[in-house]
Amino acid sequence: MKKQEPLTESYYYILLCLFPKPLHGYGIMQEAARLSEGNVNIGSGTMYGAVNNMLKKGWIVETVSDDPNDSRKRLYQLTDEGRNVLQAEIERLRHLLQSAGEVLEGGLKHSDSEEMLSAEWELGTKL
Amino acid sequence: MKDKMTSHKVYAVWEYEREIADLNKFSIEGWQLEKGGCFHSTFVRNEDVRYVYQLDYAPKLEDKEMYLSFFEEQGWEYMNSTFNGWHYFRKKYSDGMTKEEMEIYSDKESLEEMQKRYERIMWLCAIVLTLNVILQGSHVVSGRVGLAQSMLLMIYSLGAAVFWFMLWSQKRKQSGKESTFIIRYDIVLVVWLILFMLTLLILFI
Repeated sequence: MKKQEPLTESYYYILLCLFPKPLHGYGIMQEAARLSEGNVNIGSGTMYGAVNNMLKKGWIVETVSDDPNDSRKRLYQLTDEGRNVLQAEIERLRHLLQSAGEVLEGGLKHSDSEEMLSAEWELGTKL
Repeated sequence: MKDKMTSHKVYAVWEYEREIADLNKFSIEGWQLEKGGCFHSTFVRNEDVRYVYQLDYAPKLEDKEMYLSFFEEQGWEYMNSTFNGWHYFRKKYSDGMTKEEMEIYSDKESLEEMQKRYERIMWLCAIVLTLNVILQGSHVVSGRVGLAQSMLLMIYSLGAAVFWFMLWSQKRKQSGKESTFIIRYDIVLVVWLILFMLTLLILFI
């Protein structure tokens, strides 16, 4: 697979929310807000643009709900390609964190100061 | 007191944020937008509600129903669209509403994608006007032409300068630089019209 550009936060969360099961637009919005603890609130224009783009790229497809009460709403489902894109992105992010871990651990070994140690340890746990 | 109002205020594409600000201000003053347009907007009197407005530029919609569903599910009421692809949305204002709830674009990337769509028109206008400047300029330089021809050159140059400047200004804003100067379209139009009238006057005298 060719190397792709990093996903925007909105794209990343949309794909992530669709990983377990298909959702409609509002469902994606709510799930993204829940997962990000309120940090990612995908607006209507942003959501339309992203979903429309992903449909064109073949990362997601439209589907209908099995639930007769909900059959009017369009659901979006992750395709295999979308799954690959998400997995590649997660892998990329994992590498980023790994690099940070390496640098921070290295820093710990060279540091003599007690204060530095505790500060770096704090940063490490946050990451 | 009148309960209907018509506005013929015209905004340039790069002024859509000013239009939104004006609509919000009108709403606080008790004038609620009924139908938005490029040259003609209507308002109705209602002091009991307050709305927040958003404009979106999407001239080529393959599936308008799908497009609108994303807005409706987040509480945006679709009002109408203009002939050239601007869509008007509103939402009832409530105390404690967050900035995110009042905006339809929640990240820089998607907002720029929207802005790029209307920038294409600006590029087209800038290039056409520049070609006119070159053509007209070569006439003026090459021979003895009347004042009218020179005036026309001035009109084209002014137009081209406005578009190039606003394109540059948009790029600056997108790269995060503050204090962008926005050219008031109506003021340019007045200058433009005065120049045009003078040209006509000179032509027919």
